[in-house]
Amino acid sequence: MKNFDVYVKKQLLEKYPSMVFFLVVMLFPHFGAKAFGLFFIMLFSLASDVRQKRLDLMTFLPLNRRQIFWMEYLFLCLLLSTTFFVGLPFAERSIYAWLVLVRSFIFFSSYFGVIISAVSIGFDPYGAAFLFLLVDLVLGGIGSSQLGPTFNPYKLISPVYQANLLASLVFALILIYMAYRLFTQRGGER
Amino acid sequence: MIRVEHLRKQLGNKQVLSDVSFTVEPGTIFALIGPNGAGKTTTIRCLTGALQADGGQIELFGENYKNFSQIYLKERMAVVPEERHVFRNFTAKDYVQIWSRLYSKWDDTIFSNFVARYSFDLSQKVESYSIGMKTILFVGLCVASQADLLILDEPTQHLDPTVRLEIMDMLKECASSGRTILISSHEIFEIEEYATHFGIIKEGRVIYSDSIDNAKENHRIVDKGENLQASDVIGLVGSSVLVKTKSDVGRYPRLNEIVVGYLTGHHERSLSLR
Repeated sequence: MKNFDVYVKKQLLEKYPSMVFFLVVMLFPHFGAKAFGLFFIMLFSLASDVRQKRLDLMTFLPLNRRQIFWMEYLFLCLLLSTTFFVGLPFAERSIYAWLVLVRSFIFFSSYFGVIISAVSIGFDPYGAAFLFLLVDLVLGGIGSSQLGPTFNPYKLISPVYQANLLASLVFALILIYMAYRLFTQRGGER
Repeated sequence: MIRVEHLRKQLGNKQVLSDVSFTVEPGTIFALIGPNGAGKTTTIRCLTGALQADGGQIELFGENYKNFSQIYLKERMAVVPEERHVFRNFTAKDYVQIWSRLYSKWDDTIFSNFVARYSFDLSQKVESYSIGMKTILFVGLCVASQADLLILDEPTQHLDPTVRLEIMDMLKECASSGRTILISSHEIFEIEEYATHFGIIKEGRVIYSDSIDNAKENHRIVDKGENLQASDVIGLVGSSVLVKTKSDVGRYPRLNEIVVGYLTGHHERSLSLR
């Protein structure tokens, strides 16, 4: 727990200037707003540290990559939950408000997985994130999620469209696991 | 305390470490000496878990250090990184808060003495410190952490001569109290002042390691024209030759001459092919 406290303090102190705007955007009780904010906050967080060769600052302390990975994930979950609950009184009072939280969580987990995987193997996280977003929007936008001649199975797991919540959650978990393996084994070593 | 065996590491297409082996005993100051790009910092990054070695073994405090999962081992070491990069927007006070949280044996009194001695402004952002002040701050954090193993990459870089001496004395004091210190440095002249053991690293290999006293005892500097007898020629040191022998020839070398001799010599090549 003490390590997580340290990590939260470090991330908040270091990143707040670049995070404030997106955190405000995330207060809106709408999936699009939350996805937009999360997308940029993820880019400015751990991925940016690895890209700028600043990960050593943490690994020189009594922290290992495994901890850093999960603390970053938890930290972003915390930001998502906090902004959700702060914005909740302004949301529509229905199950859909909570659905926004679930969908945002799936979106965040998928993109976090992609961004951290990309940066761990030496790719530019910004390029990888925008490319994946483009592919996700285009590929997920084609066809229908209903069985038929235009059936597009990707639509079911697409982090943006999430035609099937369970399938997209499983896809997100796979991406997270892949990111965890790549980050702990390679961690964008340079 | 530290046992490194046949450590290998490739970064990109470059084989940075090809065979790094050395041992550091408790209560000693071990200096890893070598030219730029020899692999000193990469060795340190492997020891601290910042990099995962491709091969070889690292043993810390008698335990095999694998996958850096043993956080309790990392809690026993404190590091001064080579590039004095710091967390953005962090004041020295913020640094103290996180170090004191992470190191259970943190000693506030030691750090307060440091602050008083070097007139740190704890509320100033560390980014705005001069590089020398950052070095002193990191050394202060390391010493106050009370960690059993201090790993310091170029600990006297960018310091003025008086502060260098103070830092060297402080490190000697730490070692005499039983703590182990591993330093990496280019400063071959000053290392002799405070280190007890050393390893010479060249092109990713430790080509020689010993205690400074033993190394001096087992080597001689022989001038041109002198009889080398049954000596093992190591390399040139200016117009003289560094030889490995116990015979009473030439004169005893200084540490910097041993280092230069090994770095200029090709002796280690034949060793590696055996």
